[in-house]
This record gives sequence, C-alpha cells and structure tokens, in this order.
Amino acid sequence: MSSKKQKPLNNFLLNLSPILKFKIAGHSMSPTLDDRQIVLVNRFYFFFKKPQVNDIIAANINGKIFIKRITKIKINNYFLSGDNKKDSIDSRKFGMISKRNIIGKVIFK
Amino acid sequence: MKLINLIGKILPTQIAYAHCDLPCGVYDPAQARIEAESIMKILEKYSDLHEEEQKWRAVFVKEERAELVKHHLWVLWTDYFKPEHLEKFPNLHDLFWRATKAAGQVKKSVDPADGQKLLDLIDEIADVFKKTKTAK
Repeated sequence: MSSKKQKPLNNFLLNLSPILKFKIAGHSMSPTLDDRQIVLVNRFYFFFKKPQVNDIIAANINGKIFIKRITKIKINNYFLSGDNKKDSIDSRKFGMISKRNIIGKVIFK
Repeated sequence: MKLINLIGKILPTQIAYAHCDLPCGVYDPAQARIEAESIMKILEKYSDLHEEEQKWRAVFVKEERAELVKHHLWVLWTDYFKPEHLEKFPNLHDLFWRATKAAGQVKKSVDPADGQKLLDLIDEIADVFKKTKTAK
C-alpha cells in the first residue's frame, strides 16, 4: 500500500477507533513502561468512569501526547507523575490538568 | 487478548512522550548545581567519616549525584542549547565535555578540589545559559 493511500486510512482509523496505539518515547514511566514500548489506549474508558488515582493515562498537553500516571485528584483536576521520579518532569512542572486533556486510559501494554 | 493483538497490528502508531523534553521548556543549570553542591559537601565531610558503613554510603550517594549531574548537563546540552548558541559561544561543546568529564572524575575521587572544579564548570555553563536567556 502506498503511503499516499495509507495516510487517509490512518486518519480514518485514528478518528474513529476507540483504541489508539502509542509508542512510548522516554524513560519517565519505567519500570512500568519502557522506552519504545507499544501501548494501547482506550479513548472511551472515561466516558463511563471517572479517572482514578493510579490510572495510567494518555494526555494531550500543549499539543503533545504524554503517558503518565494520575497520582492526585483535586476537584476534577489531575496531577500526573512519571513512575521514574528521577527522570520525569511532570505535573510538578506543568501543573494539574483537566479532564479535557485526557485522551484515554492505557489498557494494554 | 488475541483481538487486542490484532487491533494493535491494524492501528497506526503514534508517539506518546514519557520524558523531560516538555513543551513547557523548563531548563535550568541550577538542577546540576544542586547535585554538584551535594557532591561537594560529601567530599568535604568524607575525611571526617570513620565508620565503613558511613564511608560506603557517602561514596554511593556521591556516585548517584554525579550521575544526576551528568544527566542534567546532557539535557541542557542536547535539548536546550541550539546551533545558534554554539555560534555565539564556540566553546560550548568543550565546556560541556569538560563538565561531564569532571562529573565522572568526582565519582572516583574524594578530593574536594575535584568537587570545586565541577562546580566552577557548572557555573561557567550557567553563565552562558544566562546570556542566552538575556539575549532573547
């Protein structure tokens, strides 16, 4: 399949699929998730459930997608942390995020 | 489980970041300096330590901090500094090379002079960093 044909198909799948596939770039979630590991994210998971502490989520922060763990919840705002505290700049730096930043929950790794 | 594997194969892959290079662009040589100060304190106190256990711990923490210094310097070097900075400060690569070398040196040394050398080099980097900030 040529890349020209592949792009619209990819966009179609990305727009419609309840599941998204991400490749991790970085070590801030190690040892839970390693650099270059593939994870699947359920976009609809939080339609029916509220995000909970310890959920690993994908979030859109200033146009970039991050995979982090929710470590605190305060009035519908979520504090995200990396599991590898030494190598993670997270909500300690970019502040708490709201639910609209959350793309979905990591369901398969 | 098999269905999920199949879905994983069909779906296009996107990149999700799990590292420090954030859009917030927060960089500061102070991170490296704090770790280097910690190393300096350990080096100063090392000769007063008598118990093996304390010495072992001091060496362990010193090595850990030295590794963090290297990490913070590398983040600055590779993520913050850009080619245009190198044009203005041609000694930038050499400075980082010497600073990360000095961070390696404090791992195997118990001489406070090595700790001071590391601090001085980090201060030189901080000076360049400050100049790039004020130039904006």
